[in-house]
Amino acid sequence: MALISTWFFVFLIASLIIYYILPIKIRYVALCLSSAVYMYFAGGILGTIVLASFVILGILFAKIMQSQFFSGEARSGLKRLVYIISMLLPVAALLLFKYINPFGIEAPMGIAFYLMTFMGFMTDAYQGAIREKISPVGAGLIIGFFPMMTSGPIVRYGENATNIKEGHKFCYINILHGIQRILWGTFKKLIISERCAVIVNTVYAAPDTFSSAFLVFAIFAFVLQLYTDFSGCMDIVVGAAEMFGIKLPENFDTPFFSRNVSEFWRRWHITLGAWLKDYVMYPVLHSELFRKFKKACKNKIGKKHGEKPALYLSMFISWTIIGYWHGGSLKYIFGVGWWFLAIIVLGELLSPFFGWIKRVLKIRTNNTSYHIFESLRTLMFVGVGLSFFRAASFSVGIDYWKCIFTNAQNQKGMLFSNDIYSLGLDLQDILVLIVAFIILLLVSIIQYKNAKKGTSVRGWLDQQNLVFRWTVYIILIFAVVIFGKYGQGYNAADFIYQGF
Amino acid sequence: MSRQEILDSVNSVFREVFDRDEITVNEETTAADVEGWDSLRHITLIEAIEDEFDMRFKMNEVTGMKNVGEMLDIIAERI
Repeated sequence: MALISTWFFVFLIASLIIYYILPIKIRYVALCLSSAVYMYFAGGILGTIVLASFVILGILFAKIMQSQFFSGEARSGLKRLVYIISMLLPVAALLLFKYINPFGIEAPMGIAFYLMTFMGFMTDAYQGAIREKISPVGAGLIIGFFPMMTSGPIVRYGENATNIKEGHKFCYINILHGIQRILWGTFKKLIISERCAVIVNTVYAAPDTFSSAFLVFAIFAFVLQLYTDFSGCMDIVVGAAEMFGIKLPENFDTPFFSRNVSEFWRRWHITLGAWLKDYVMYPVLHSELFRKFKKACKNKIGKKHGEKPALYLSMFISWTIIGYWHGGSLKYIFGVGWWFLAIIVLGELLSPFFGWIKRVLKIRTNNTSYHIFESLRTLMFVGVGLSFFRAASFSVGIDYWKCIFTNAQNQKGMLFSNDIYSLGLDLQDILVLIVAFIILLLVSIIQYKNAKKGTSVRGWLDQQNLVFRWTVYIILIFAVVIFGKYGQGYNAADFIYQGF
Repeated sequence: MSRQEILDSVNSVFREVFDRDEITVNEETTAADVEGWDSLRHITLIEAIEDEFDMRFKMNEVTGMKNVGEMLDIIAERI
């Protein structure tokens, strides 16, 4: 049962009806039931068993670690043991089903996402970060709430998704906002992402037959494909949750307006980045071992730069995990991990030099044009990394780049000529893609500007008159139905991050 | 040590870590208010404060504190 399918929407409506029919105190029952049924149909019997096991384990471990029995220092060793077991189980499950996979079976649905939530939850429970009494319903739902099974978000008990456990009153605006978000996500996915996919698949299938211009173009088409795919998926997830009155954390915050790569990663797949920062990078840096390492470095190379080796080492660990998490192969470890680390470290090492250039050339940095320059530069770095993400393997990615540097003009591929049809889209598709892209760009600019003021696009839409609002909705619905790429030959059902 | 004295010491740590003499933080200051207070600088700052007061923050406090006031609460509790 994919997120964009008739079945999912029928299922969602049925769940909503049951949810709002039940008395408010037991509405969570509908969520638990829906989540179990959803997993059974979408993830099969194995997926259901694995999820159910971790939901039960999560509740048990969290309650045990929070219990009075472990409250003092007296049994801290035993508590530590419980914590270690609670962390080894998900790590073992991930390695077994996903990264090593000795039995050759398909990984149970969603484990790369909900087990991250699980491990963070265990850590919070162990450290006493959760002050309130842990509710079994809340604990079960942050792990297994069905909209999050496709691609997250990764949530934190008591920090975000805080209203997941209580029943919510029926509220027209929640339903409306939920439908808006789902519609917008479907627009991104079916109209933009699926068209980009055609271009990307065509070019990546035979990179040696295309010119450098087309090869570079395809890389940016993939960036757009991935963004509209993943963020479109998140729009549907957040929108579906919203219809139950539940607020899930956002995973994207207009990432392409970022001025540098680090900022990009704070605005792209936000909940994964936050997870790594809170549960990997900080603990590593804060550990006794690293503190000693830092002290030693400070004594050797001075106070100013003495912190850097420890910092870079901890970043190396985090970025390697980010890359590995995506699928374990070198193309991810390099393309989503080390490449970005290299850019960040190089950027920092060279910053005195760049600062000097800016001073000599008297470049003003506090204006829109410089911001655009920085965003384009960031986009370029992101494109290079993601070109490996898309390639079949790391070495195929290298070959792709060899083609970029050696395929000059002789292959098909002058942009702005009839060669453009060799990318797999006809004129109508290309025009639809361009128009949809402009709409996305405009909405993103409004989102970015509004975020600074604390307002939103939907807030703006809510203030318009009924006729205008419904015109927008109807245009969007028709656009998705008419221009969406679905049906035979298209696998719109599949989201890229669903595979992780 | 009074709360004001703790705040004064915290301020001098901030100035040293961010290498800017004009920085002054108060109870309500958050990371968003101080230029350069990002996730990497945060850990440097935490450790400089730990050295200054000869105490340790717990891991969940490192990631959980919302403003300088909460930082002062923890310091006051532990020195």
